[in-house]
Amino acid sequence: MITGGRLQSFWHWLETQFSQAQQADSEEQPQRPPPAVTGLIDQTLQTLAPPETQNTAIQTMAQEAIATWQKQREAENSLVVLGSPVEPIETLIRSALGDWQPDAEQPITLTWPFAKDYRCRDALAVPSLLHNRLDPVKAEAKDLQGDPDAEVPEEPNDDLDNRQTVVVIPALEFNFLRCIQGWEGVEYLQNLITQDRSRFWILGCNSWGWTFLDRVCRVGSYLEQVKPLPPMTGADLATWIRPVAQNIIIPEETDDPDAPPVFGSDSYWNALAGLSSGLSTIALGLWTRSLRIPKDMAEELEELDLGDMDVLKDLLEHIPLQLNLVKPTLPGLMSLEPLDRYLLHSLLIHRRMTRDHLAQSLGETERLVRTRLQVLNREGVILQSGDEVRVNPVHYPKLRSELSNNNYLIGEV
Amino acid sequence: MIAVDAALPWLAQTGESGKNIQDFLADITTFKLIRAALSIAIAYAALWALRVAIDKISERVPRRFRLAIKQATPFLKALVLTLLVIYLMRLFIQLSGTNVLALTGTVAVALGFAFKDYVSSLFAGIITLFEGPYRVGDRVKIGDTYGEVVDYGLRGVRIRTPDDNTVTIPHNIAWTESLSNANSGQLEAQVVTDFYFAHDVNTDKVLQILYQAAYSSRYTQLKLPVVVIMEEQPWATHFKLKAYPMDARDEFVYQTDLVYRAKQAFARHQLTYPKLAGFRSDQGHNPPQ
Repeated sequence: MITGGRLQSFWHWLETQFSQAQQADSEEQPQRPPPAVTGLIDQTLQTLAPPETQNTAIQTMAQEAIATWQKQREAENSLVVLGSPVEPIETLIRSALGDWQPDAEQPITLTWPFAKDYRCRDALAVPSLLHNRLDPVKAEAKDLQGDPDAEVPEEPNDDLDNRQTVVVIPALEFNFLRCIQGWEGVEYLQNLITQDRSRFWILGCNSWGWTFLDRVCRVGSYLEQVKPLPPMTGADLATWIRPVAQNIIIPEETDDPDAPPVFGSDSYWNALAGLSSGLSTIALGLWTRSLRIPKDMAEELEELDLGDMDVLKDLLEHIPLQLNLVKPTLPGLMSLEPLDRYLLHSLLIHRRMTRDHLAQSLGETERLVRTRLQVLNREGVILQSGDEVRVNPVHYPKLRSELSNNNYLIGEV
Repeated sequence: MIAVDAALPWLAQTGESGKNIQDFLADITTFKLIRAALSIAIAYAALWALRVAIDKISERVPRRFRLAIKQATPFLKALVLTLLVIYLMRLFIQLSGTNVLALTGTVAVALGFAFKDYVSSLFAGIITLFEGPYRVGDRVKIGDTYGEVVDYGLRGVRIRTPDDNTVTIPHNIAWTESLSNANSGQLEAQVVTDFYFAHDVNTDKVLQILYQAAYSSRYTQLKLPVVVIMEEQPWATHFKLKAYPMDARDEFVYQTDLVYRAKQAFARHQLTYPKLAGFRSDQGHNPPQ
């Protein structure tokens, strides 16, 4: 029997097919800015600071959880902040908590055991790495086993007055790989956190990775305080993108000459927030896709050599862009092969991975994985930077629906 | 009329032969025969188009809709055939209450003798269509044949075996043979993979590896449970890993993936396989059953 949910999914699938057909037409429209220009705009967007609303949300969550932990002996000593698999959760957490000092009962020291973007190359070595970095007491005791005169290190003191250390692991998914013994690091971590209540732990993770870990090692039963990042509203997005928009967008016409310029109508920003599910990276991608250039300016730019990015920057200083916005739309998703789905599911669980980790996780040869990655990269479904690959955020909404319809376990966000 | 009399002697024997037959049959004209032939051709083409279209659509839509679409095939086929039969009857038979009674009774007797097995299969097909012991897309074992039901015909069901052979089995075999269905209309079917180890093996480690092998396989349906069962045999400790692939079609590649992953981990931990007394591979002995 086809239930309401199935009908809805089927409708979403039909919509995807329909948009694929439509895409060919929209691609041919000349009003889209040249790729060199959109590349430059993308580059500028990447320099935007993380959204203030996300910063505030993370700080508020951490503040409340730490305050409770310092006041109540049995309170949770961990907080898991969940993001989507296309949001840079570690960047958001580092930005929010990097120089942050909470308003707490006791002075707080934040420790960051891992450098930014650090990922252990050998998935099987993660437990010992975590042991060395996070459990210095036991690591020291282990080292001293052969020395009978050595002083035995003390167990951590769990007095409320002593609760002053906060350990931040901004990307939990960097500490596991979907392979045999690949999530023993997470099992070690969940045991350590529940045993050592003298420290507070803030973990960032993507929702798909968390759902997977909860299924395979019941991580949610150990770390119960889990909070998703709130979605951004249309107004949040407008404020966040404004520093870039004001330089390249023609402001909306208003009747009030004293009113500050508005770059995009409310309905545009609300549509953008709805289509992107309030996720910042998707919104950025869709915003760039909705930019249109007047024909005369497009012709003017066509005559210039736009190959060199520095030259382009100089040129645009003399010819400031005056772009319009059209209704944002999701790009069509290519027709996926079964291996593509497995591959993309794995990427979404780990958020971003190296090719050899991906091959190891799938149990496939690296050559075959590389071949499919080439195709997916060419179609824009994934993005590669160096040896790492990740899903292109603008394809995430349709990909999520596609994988759900194909019986995959997916995350909530 | 002589030809009709010869073809339908059972009607002639009812007594008032000529008049009754005339009452029973409508006028048979060349035009009607052409219409009948055309309608049969159209029905045949419709059945063919239906099968091709459903095959194509069901393989293109997302997995979760595949079986629902495939399972509609026999009902749609039955609809086309029913419409055809009604149309032909309206063409050639004057359908009064008496005539219908006479027709069904005599047809039943005639077919009962001439096409007993065929009719038995037809009825079994209609009953199984509604009872649903097997549907298109299911993985079933009927007698010694195991595979995926790929077509549900009027007379029998076609099964594609793991060796890519297509076996046709008449529906009426369901009256006598046992029938096992692995997925019963669901996408997932449980796959059981056997592993054997020496009695003194580290069972905790084996259990851990087997669970992780299932959870780490890309084919595993993570929404469904994974279970490992242990059993002592005189010659080994037997572990059964029970898990579900996301798509029952992946049964054999799934099993291969599980064994491949598990064996890599077993080798890493040097877990010992059973050593069988009296078994020497160079003599071609088989392990005890």
